[in-house]
Amino acid sequence: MLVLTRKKGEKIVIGDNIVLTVVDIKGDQVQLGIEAPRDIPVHREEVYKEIQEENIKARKTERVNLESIQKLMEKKKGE
Amino acid sequence: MKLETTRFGEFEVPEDEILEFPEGLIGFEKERRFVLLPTQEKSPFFWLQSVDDPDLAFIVSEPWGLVEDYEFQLPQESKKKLDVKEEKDLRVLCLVVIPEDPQKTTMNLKGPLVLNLPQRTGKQVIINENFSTKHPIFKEASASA
Repeated sequence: MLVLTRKKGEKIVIGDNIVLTVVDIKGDQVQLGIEAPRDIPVHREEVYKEIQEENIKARKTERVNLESIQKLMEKKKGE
Repeated sequence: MKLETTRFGEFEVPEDEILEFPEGLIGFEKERRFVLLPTQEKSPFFWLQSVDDPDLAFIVSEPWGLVEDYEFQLPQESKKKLDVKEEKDLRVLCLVVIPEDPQKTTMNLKGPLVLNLPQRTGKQVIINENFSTKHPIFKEASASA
């Protein structure tokens, strides 16, 4: 991994069209500005991980689980 | 083609019903081909069954009807990858997690599956709007009833 030291207001340029700017630093928090073409997805890492975890949980579904929520749905409709 | 599944046994699926997810799903990047299987009449839930892994199946659901005010802008890169010509070709399905207590069932609204129906392709999209990956589909109030 390439590690660069930057001060507030300084930038890092990646390729032709991605620019990272250190907007602000407060304690252990860094605010970054990201300029990238609209076709490049930018996400916090946690979001990826969360979705991955949910997908892994979702794959454990069995037919009985589905039946249990379908029963619940019918019950609600009847209420 | 003949499909082998652990939950539903063996059955035939027409080739043109197979959905291609060129990037797989997040965490399941190698699984590219799926079929949608209905569950019950009028049920919003479908099984998304992997074509290549008999044991891999998810419950997915149309979010509307179960969630109020769910709306998002399809990110530009996803639009490109799905080769969207018209918005009406798209269909949105969300993955459902059913825990032991079915009252606590949640739906992933942050990472919906977007399908381009005429092309039979799909992609799990991470949307920019602030929705939960664990949105409860049953209201707490009725849980105590």
